[in-house]
Amino acid sequence: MIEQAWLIPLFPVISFLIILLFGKRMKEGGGYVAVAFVGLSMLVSLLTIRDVFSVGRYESEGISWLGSEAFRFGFLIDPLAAVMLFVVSFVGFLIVVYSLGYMHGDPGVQRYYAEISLFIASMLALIIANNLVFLFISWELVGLCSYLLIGFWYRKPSAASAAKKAFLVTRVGDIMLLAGILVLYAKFGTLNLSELFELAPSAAPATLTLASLLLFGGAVGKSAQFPLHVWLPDAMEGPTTVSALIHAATMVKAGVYLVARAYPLFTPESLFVVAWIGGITALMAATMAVVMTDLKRVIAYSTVSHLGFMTLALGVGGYAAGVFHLLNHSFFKALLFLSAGAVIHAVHSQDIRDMGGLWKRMPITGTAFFIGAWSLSGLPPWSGFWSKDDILAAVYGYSTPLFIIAAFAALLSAVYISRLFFIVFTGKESEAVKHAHEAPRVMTVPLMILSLGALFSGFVRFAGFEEFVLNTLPAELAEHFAAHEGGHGFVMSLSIALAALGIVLTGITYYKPVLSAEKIRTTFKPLHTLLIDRYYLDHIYLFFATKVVKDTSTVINAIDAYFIDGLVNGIGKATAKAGEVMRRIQTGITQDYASWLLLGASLLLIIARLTGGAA
Amino acid sequence: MLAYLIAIPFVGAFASYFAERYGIAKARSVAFATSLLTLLVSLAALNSFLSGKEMFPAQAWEWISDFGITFTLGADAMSLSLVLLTALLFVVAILASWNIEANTKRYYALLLFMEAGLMGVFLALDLFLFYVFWEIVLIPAFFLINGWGGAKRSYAAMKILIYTHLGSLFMFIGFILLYLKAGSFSFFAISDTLASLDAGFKSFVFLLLFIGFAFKIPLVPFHSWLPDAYTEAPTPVSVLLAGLLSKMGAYGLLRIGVTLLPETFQSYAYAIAVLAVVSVFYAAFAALAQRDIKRLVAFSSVSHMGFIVLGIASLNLIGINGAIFQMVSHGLIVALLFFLTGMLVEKARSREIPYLGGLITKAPFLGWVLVFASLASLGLPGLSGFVAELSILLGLFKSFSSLAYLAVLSLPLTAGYYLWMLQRAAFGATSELIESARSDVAWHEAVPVLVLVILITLLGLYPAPLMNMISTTSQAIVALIGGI
Repeated sequence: MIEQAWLIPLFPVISFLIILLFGKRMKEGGGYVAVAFVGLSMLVSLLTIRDVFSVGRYESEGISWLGSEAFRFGFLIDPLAAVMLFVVSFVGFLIVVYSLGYMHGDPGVQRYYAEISLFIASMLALIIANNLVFLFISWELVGLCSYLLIGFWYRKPSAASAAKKAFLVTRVGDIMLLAGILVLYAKFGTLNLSELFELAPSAAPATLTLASLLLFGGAVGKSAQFPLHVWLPDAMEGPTTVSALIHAATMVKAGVYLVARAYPLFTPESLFVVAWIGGITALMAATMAVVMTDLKRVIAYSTVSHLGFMTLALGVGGYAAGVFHLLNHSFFKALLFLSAGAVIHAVHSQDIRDMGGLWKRMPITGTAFFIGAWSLSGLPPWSGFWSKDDILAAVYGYSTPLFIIAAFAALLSAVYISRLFFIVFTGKESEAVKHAHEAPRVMTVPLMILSLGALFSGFVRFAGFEEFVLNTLPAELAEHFAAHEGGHGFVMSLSIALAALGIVLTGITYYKPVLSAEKIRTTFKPLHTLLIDRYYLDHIYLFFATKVVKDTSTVINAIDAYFIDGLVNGIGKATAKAGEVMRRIQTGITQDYASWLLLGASLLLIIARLTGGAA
Repeated sequence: MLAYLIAIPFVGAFASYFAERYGIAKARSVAFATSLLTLLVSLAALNSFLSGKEMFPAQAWEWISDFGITFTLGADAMSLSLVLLTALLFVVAILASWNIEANTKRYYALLLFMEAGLMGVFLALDLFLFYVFWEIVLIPAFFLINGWGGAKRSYAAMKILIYTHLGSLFMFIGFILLYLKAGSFSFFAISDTLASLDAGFKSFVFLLLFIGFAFKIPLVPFHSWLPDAYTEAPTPVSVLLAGLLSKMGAYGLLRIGVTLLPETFQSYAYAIAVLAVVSVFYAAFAALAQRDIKRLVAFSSVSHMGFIVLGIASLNLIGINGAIFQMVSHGLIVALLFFLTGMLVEKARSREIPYLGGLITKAPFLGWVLVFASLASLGLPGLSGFVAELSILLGLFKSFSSLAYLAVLSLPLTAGYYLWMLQRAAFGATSELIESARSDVAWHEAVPVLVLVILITLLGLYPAPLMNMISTTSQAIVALIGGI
């Protein structure tokens, strides 16, 4: 099936077209069509992945997109693409099924399924693209769909604003990616990934560092890394299914995937930057996740933090560890989002202060959330533990300060996710919770399947996952990075201890209140404010957008209206005065315009003739 | 065959003028039929070009032989692309005129007269002929704005007339100087003579020509006629001004500026590129400040025309490819945008962005197509604008990498003003004004919109066929400079 991998993005494109054109007359706005086609796409993905085990790698001939060989678009399937295909098509499929319940009765449901189909299609195309321009096109289409989906309830001003913010902030990253493409094209004359990897070792390291850092800039925007992470928490304005799809399966993974995809182009210098940005992001987002009171927002910051972990892993050379965490995170994060969605659906609020004691009302959802939280917290033996442990081990050998940062972020992961669990599901039943019901089957079944993933995906580690993923890289590189991997006794014990400590600390604050959350808040008031205000980064950007950009625009507009146009009008008036004389011999400028034109032209010709220029 | 492209709309203009005696519907039908026929003939011309027929030049007649003036027509891939664009946009413009009922005297005749002029500009291979057509286009433009425009129409009409005529004057002096040296206005004769002339003279002539083209494109600071003209003109004329008349300048710059004076252009290339970057940013910032959606599109158009000049100034194959592609792409996109602003005025009776909130809820077709057109204009990949901008940037980076980095920075700005406009005009809660808006879509609105949407998408998804065709022209141009 690997030679037919182009079918993978094609199916959801067909679904998009069908729903766009005929969805209005269909049941659930064409939801079943979306399920069917995304399902087909998943099927082809699975068959393709099976072939990867035997073939290893396949690159298609491709078609010429722009006439020149540099823009020949084909697809490339290798182990990295296989992992990602699995994540996107499988998790994507479950989310679309879940949507049948979640989006039931929404008036815009047709648009929802059209957009979600295109979203999944673009993401799948991004994965299999073998050319950076092809990748960039899919990348931007992913961005477009997220813009449309975040702004899905566009009548809400906050949704329209969040959509714009997401698009613009990621666009800042996108232009860096575009600039990276310009550098690579100017240097190598090709944008085919395999050819670039072949040519890269012979190029000057400075060029490669520049190009790879620019590519990484794109990843920073898309994968919500510091300092461009600000769009992601606001992106919660869309339906929760969209949040799940953006956070767990598709959009934000694109950035990490890009780094992994273009890995042979990165130099030690650029990887150093990658590692530190990842580390800073992991810690910074985790600190904010601890204080937020919006259910989805906490999970959103958690996503940012874990994307930071993946970036960090790639930066320190833990290639397989980063990809491994990407896989595991998809399951537990999709699970957390979808169960949060079920909670929001039932409680009609996103504020965790309205919640409490939900466990009894929603046992399946509660269990699902519990499994997701356990996996994320990093306690053994579920998936999050294994990949987090691999990442910490890789960082340990790379740099001590980064290791401390990562370990602290890991501790906070356990804190914020158990805080969420204790507040929402345990304790006294709040007023809003009293009428909550368990979600319908179409929503709980995907939760159960994802729970299985969140529990067991970590065990692929023992089935040769690392070797499999490292096959993506050229042989010398793979060998080099393999050395970094592997269990480490000290790291593993520390990692378990930190997770346990985090949960205990939260437990004695929220479950059996020995410590008072209120008291902690007041003791660390300035810190709490700093975190609630998100380190003031949003304020700084807002200042830049309104003051710097908009004021420049106002000034330029004023210059244009008063100075340049004024000048023109002034000259016009002066000319008009001079023209008073002319007006007497003219019936009106316009009517005679053509004759003046011809007369003028003839005069010039006669002058020309007289001066003897013509032969 | 090429002469028919000029003759058909010319004859059609008269036919429509006389048909008006039997009612405006007749005049309109004649005009519509003429524009369709012209489109068919231009497709036939494309067909014979693709089958390998030599068309450069295709036809030549003696005209005013005393002054070495010939009636020479010819078409290469660039001319043909623009001829096709012209033929298509005139069909669109006539459909956009469907509801013009008041004061219709001469309206369709003027439109077709303008079409004949534009075809002439894109086909002429004689400088004098080129100049005549160039000026012919301006006359109907003036009358159309003055007769059917908005509140400030006579000011706007006078401004465009005087302003661009001033530009043409510079250009014409340049032509005369060339003629004096070559003794002929023919492209080929001039191009043969020029090789032996001294650089100082060529430099002077080039500057004259450049000013003429810069007025027309326009580049900042020669642009101030544009916002008024585009905004005050009736919708169909805005479509034509932005879609086609601006291309005359860019076409002239390539056809005459680069082709006749390659080395001279080369020595000015950096300065021109800097001016274009200034233009791109200046217009983008100005667009951000606009409240009137039509004015926003007008400034955005200046910004995008700057990209065309950037592509030309890069003087390499991919850059010039991008510039020509952008001429077509921008023509389609800006036509769609202006068409939509026309619909807006008709259905919602306002173009003021702050009053338009919630357009999508009330008029979904209009609202979503506005979203599409905005995305196309901000260069969303998968649509034609991206192909052009990418090629231009790749070309520019090869020639002047620092300017390319700068130009890339304009992209989020462009995205910014379009998305901000959409946030306020298309999305959000329904405003009072929009509550009373009409949501009906007539066939003569839906058809052109869908045709443009489909073309923009097709060219964006699979640009290779058009790009390969354009490439034949770019290769010829680049060969003159000895580059690749």
